[in-house]
Amino acid sequence: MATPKSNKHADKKITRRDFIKNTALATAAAATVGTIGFPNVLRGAAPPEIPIGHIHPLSGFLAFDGQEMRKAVMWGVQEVNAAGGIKALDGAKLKLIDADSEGKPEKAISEVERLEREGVAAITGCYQSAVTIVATQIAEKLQVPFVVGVASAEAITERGFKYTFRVQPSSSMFVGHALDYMRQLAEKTGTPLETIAYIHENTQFGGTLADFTEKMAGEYGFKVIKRVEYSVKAPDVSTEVGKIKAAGADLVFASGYFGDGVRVARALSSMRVNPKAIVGIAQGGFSHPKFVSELGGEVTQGIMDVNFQYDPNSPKAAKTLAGFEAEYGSKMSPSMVYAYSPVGVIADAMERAGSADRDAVRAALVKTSFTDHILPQGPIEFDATGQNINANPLLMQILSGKVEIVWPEKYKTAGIVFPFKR
Amino acid sequence: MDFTFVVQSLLNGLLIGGVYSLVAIGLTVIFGVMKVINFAHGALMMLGMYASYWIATLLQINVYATIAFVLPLLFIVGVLFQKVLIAPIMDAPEHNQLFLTLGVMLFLQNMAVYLWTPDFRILRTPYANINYYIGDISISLVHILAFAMAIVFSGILYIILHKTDLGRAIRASSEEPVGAKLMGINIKRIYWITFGIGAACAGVAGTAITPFFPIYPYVGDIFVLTAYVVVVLGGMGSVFGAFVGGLIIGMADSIGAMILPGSMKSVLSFVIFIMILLFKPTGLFGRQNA
Amino acid sequence: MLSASVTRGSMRKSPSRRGWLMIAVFIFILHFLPWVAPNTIHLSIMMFLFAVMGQGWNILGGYAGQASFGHTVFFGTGAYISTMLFLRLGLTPWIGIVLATLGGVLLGIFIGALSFRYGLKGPFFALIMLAFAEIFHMVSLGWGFIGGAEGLLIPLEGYAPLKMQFLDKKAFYFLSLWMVIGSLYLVWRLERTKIGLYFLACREDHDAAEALGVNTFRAQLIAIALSAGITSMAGTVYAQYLLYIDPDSVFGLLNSVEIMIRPIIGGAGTVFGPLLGSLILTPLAEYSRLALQSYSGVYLMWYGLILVIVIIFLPNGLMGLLNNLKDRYQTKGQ
Repeated sequence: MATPKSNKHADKKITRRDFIKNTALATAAAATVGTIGFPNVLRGAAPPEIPIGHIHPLSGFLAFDGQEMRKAVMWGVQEVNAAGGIKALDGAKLKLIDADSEGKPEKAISEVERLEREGVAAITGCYQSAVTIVATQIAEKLQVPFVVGVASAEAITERGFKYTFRVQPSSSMFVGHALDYMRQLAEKTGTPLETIAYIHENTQFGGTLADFTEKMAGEYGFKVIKRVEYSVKAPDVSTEVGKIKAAGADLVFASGYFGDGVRVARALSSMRVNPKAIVGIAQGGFSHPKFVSELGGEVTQGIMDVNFQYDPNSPKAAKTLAGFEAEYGSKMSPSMVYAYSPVGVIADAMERAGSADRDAVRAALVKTSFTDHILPQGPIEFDATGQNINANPLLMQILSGKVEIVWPEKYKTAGIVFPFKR
Repeated sequence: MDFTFVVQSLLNGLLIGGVYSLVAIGLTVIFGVMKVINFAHGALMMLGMYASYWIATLLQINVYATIAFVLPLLFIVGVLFQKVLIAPIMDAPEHNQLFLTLGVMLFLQNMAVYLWTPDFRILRTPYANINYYIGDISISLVHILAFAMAIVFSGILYIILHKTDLGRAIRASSEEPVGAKLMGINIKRIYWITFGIGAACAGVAGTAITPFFPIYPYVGDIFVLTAYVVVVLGGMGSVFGAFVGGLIIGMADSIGAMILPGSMKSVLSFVIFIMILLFKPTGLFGRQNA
Repeated sequence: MLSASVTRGSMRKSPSRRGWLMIAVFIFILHFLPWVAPNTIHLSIMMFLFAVMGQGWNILGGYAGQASFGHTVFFGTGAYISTMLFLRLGLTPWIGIVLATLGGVLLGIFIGALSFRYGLKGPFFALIMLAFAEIFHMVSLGWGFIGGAEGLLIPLEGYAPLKMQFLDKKAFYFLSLWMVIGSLYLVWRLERTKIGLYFLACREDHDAAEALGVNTFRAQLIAIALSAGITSMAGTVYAQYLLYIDPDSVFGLLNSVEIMIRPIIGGAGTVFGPLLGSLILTPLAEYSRLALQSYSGVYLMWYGLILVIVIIFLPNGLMGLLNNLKDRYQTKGQ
């Protein structure tokens, strides 16, 4: 790659050694351009603050989810700061900078650039795979470490990027676990299970999960016989659900976000679609605490979800969840758990690097073996592609108006009801 | 494709078509009289939805009872809209009117974002989950109520237009403005009344769908585009045409959803739209305008 | 907006020698902006690209009098053509941009031939453009071959000038800057040709023009072809700059609004209108996002407000206002 001629970025590479100088430079640049009152300009209070950024859909169609992610990331920052900040850097506190993707990938581009200008040590986000793919590409170009919290598309970690890391399971991991769990349940309960009808939202997120399901189903003795996609923005999904119903499969898989999850679930109920189980695959709504209150216990009874979850056996998890609920008055949903987790990972990397310099942080991230987390897995470690290899989704089921963890047995909070009859 | 599925889809299409009709009727009345294409119509519907939502939530009353508030509220909004913003440019080139209503739409939508956040709000009613079943076909109660409201209000409007003096004055102004003026009709008054009626229709349509639709600032977009298709299909200025057109387009969307991937379901409606614009711009029931 | 007196006055009015000097100096200074204020490069590129698209719209809407409410259909078509050719055939975007422009022109001729043959004008034309844009939007969402709702991602290659990828944004800055200058020049020349006069004739009085022997069908077709071509060209540059396109960003209704609002505010039917509109609106959107620090769609509230105010009080846009002031200043000077 040829080095461009006079290049502000090339200059920055040298001055970036000293993080404080970089911040001053960014501040000076912002002031020179005359953008009035960049709200997040550091004020140079002692001890210095280390900015980290997060990109989520704070407005637009997924604003509900995005705002939740934001609270989760904020909580992570608060926990780190309350515990004394980054001790290796004299207790420097983390400072969170918001960036709104509006749910659109192209917005992520300017937001990553803005965060870079504001001197963030690392970025996390973005909840949507499409947005994350674009954002990580720009972050790679600008050499800013990006620790993905929630975003499942395989492509995120398949591009040979050095600055991208992901905490949550990848699409193929999700699907692999889901099919494995279903096969285990089929064997345990002696239920014949073979066919799957899959309804999913039509972007990278749902599409990739469905693609992998089709590809991997055979290995576990399944077959996807119908695949129906819908738009997150569609107000009415009854025709799509009608196609699922007509397929008459043993299992109905569903992937999407909270809002559309509500609509799909409602339609599945009102149209009396009765497979042996309705299983969300990373369905943003199906294991969300608010899901039940939206639709009522009857509609949601028995719905399953293979999704993120906290570790029910972990004392730290209990503490974190309780603290979150006390602070925000609402429960931390599973997605929020994964939006929250990268903050701990980033802070840990900074501790080990003893620096907030981006390249140092990146190098430390590569060597991560983080155990002070609340996820149902061993230590968080990243493989060569940046994927958390021990990431583990769990199987949840809504029973009597509560989201319970039902599989694997090691993590369960309630007995599973399978197959399920309305 | 099995029979139940087809019938179910068409039925859903018909019911939601009723709502399209109601929205379109407001639009067509405005266009018929003032020849203004109101881009802000969807935003007015959105305002009606938020009004219903807030009133029902804060006053703890039945959502359908909120019509008593929404109707006059949106009527007034429509009147103000016309008097303050449209009246000054009635004589300007048609483009300007389009741009102006577009500007109002942008403003209203994003003001809603600013005031009420872009979060989806769902009005929880006890009947949102009630369904009736004919065999394997489900009909949701709230869909039926929305359809009923569409019929009732369309009917009321039709009666007003054809059986009252005001209605006759409105129709006269739309068909022959100069003649109407000569006959002593206060055209300016007709204009703002008509706009008020149009806005009220949009507002009522909003109330009708509030029990089963998420409420958010951009909700109007979906309906406004469809409303144009309906208005053109039915014939600009024809209430009956808008009503029939709404049902047709509702079902066209369902048919589209059956045969095309989910995101493309309205392609059929828009193709119909283009065909009508090119080959029969007066629509099914429209008048041949001079 | 399109009052005859103002445009007759502004048309063919060449800048004085001093005016030319000012313009030249301004352009000269713009060349140094990337080094003086590097944080504004992204903003400037967006500003220029939208000014170019707005200029495209201006030819059809401002000069030929056919306001299109779906102009993004050309932008998106251009973006998709060059991107697909690159991703599937490895065709360099430098050739892709030519094909994209051609594609846009053909699409414009197609839509124009249909619409003008059937005498669509005014709101009906606006609506049919909207319909075409929405159809393209929906098809691109559902058609997996061109990426579907996931869009198309152009793999990052760093510095690859043969593939229109540059590590440094300055390249795109100059590319878009010169596209603006080119489009300004094109319209300025257009004003002074016979075909430009035909555009105006179609706009002001369609039937009278026909009666005078102007082939309005042909004139409008040329207008839409030019208009579409310019807009599609910008689509390719946009795709190469962001390295990602998806149906919502390039075919969405909001994009048509962004394209249209610049010439309207700046002054439709004038050479500098779209650029002026862009110079004001793009930074306004950016600034209001930072200053308000709330939901970023809010800048559209300003767009709406400004649009309403301009339509009511300044129907000829800002250029119209400037021309009025200039006239008054000049008459006073006498």
